[in-house]
Amino acid sequence: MHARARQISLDEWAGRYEQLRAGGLVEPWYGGPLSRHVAHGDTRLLHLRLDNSPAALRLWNFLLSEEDRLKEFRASGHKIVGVMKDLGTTPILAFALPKVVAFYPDGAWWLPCVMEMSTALLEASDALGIDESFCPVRAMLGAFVKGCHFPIPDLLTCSVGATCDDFSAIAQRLEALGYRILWWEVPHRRRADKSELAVTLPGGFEAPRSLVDFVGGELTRVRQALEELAGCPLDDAMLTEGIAQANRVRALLRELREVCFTASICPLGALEMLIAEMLAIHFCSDRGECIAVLEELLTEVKRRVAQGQGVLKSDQVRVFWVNPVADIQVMNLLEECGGRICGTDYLFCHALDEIPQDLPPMEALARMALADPMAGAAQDRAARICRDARRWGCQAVVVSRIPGASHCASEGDVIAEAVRSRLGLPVLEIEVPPLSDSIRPSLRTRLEALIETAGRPG
Amino acid sequence: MNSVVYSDAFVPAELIAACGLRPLRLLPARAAGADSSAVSQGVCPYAHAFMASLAQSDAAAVIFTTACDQMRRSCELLAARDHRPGFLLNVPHTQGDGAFGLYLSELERLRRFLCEVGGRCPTDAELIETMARYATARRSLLAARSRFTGRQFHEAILAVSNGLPMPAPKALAGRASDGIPIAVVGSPLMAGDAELFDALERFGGHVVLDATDSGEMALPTPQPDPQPGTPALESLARSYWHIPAAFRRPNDGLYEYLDREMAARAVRGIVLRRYVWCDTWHAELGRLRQRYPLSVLDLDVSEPFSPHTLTRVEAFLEVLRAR
Ligand code: SF4
Ligand code: SF4
Repeated sequence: MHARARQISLDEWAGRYEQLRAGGLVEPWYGGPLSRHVAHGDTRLLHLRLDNSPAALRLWNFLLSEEDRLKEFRASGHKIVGVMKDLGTTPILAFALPKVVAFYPDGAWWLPCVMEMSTALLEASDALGIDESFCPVRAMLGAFVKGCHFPIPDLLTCSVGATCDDFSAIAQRLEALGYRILWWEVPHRRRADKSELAVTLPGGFEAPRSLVDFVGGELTRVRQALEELAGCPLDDAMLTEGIAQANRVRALLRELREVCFTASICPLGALEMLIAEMLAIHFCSDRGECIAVLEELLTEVKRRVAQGQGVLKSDQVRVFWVNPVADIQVMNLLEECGGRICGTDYLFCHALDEIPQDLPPMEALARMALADPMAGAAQDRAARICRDARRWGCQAVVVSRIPGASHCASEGDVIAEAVRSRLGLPVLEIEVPPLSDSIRPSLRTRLEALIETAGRPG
Repeated sequence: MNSVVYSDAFVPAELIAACGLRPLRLLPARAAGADSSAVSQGVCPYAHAFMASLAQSDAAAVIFTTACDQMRRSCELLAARDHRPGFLLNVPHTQGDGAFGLYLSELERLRRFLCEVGGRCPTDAELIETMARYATARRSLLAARSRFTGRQFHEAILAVSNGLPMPAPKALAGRASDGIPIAVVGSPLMAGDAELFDALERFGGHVVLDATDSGEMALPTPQPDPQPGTPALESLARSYWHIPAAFRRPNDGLYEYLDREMAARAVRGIVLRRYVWCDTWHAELGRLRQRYPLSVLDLDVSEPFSPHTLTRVEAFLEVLRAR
């Protein structure tokens, strides 16, 4: 089963799959050859270089089967909660309840890319007045009105306040179409004044005690709505158990990152690492299975490191990547240009931090919500990026702008300036649309130039 | 007297005035924001021009709010570029009791900041007296609305918000009170942008409702005199809390206001005036069109008022006249 680690095309995966099956591969119920996802419209797979391990196969199948799994949950009597925007906190409240499952409708962000625009979600969003001046998350609006890609949730929540304007405006448009939303507030995170008590948040940021208490109150409102939906109380013991499960996922991801980013030869490509990291938030729709997927991936990566195997050359330049890419193929492109990912901030690095388990659970979750890098100053986010880039010995930083995103307009400069002045590393700012084929030559040239600069001795 | 610049309607001018400072709602100059490279990178032209206009202002301090992401981040830019102190007022987007408590505590924090930047800490009686003065001025302003042209009224709102006397209505001959009633809705105006009102009235419209973020809609709701025992600051917070705004979640209050005021003023056409990258207002376009059986003219006013815009305004009024 353990072929030498390499990246292969979807075509090659067909033969590899047969070989694995013949060798006795046992898959979960959502398993199967990757090519079947192409038949369902996920045609971007045809243009990707994919990891050849059974662990990666399971990872992709897990990612691309969320809709089926949600339907199964609904069929078995589960309530479905669509948790929008907050990236990591409210799902824990939801899944701590029996027969409640949460998912992020925001995940539709990637559909125009994965389905290579065939699903017309952006057109549906256009028709509602939400055009390309908004972030690609507008695909979510299209997915709601077209009623495809995920079941319509029984309850929708959305965090607002110190979030991007794009999401807030799109969610408001959604509500105006008749989808009721429970809005809850995450205020801008600021430092405590001299006269205030300060609290240290997971990840190291700081906030005044009063803001933590306020967010705790907001989460209590969410908790009450969830209890009503579930028809049973959510006690602290259940919540503590939910936090423990989330922490298990986070610990696996932290270890996976550590092993991958510090290995002398890159054991797992940027694409699969991106998908794995996304599970820090998307795990909520199926925790148990997600943990199994990550455990298998971690085992594979450790095996490769122990055997000195990897998917890239040993002299690839170590790159820190900021923001998720709307077109996942660009992660392959970076590697083709001679880079490897050795650090990331995909907008949800707070969802990788351990949630304190020595605190009352609501207090712990409030601290978690406020730790979102987007809730505070761009300088705070830049400081964390610099800290991590230094720790993993990165040689260059790519700031990948998201088309239309309200935060990218000013944040990129702040991050680039901090990286240059504090670390002296080269920084490249690019913008990646959902399908980057037409700008691929220029993206390639710019990435190659960065890699060449960063790899030059001296 | 030191002036303190503020960026939007949720900053109570009375509080700045009661601290012995001069409140200045800065409507930025277009020329100041002419650097189109920042705008092409996604910076809201208004937020960009606001930052650029600060360079020309001698204000002692600047107050931003969290009403939108772009202004929230602008406060950080000030710290990097300017020696003057900046204050970011957390204005909650939701409207529950907890959110009101946060807003009130933010006003308390703002009061402390104003004292630190050269103001003096007002007593409750001083704050109440200032609030009463502002409330009287706003009442007079609203009572005189029908005597102003659209442009004059917009300018009068700004003057009163800045604690200046209400300017007398002039050029009544240019007032098109028998024109087609129009509501102008959307983003705040930049200095000089009231040309839009002139154009609407020149082509036969009458701006009866200024529901922009720098217009009548953004005025605080007058509150009854504070009840004995209710702190003045709380009373002040309540009057600003109910300002209808597109960024509130949900923003039903905006539509309750528009439903009520547009019906009362028999509005026949709506102009949505917004800047490119202003997601908050842009997203309301579809809803305005869906909700009101009226013509909606969508004006992206990122560029100065152009001949093309003028033609669209003229055509809009022609259509309304023909109905
Ligand atoms: S990518 Fe940025 S703009 Fe888009 S939804 Fe996420 S945080 Fe908002
Ligand atoms: S116009 Fe819109 S984006 Fe610009 S500062 Fe105002 S609310 Fe923010």
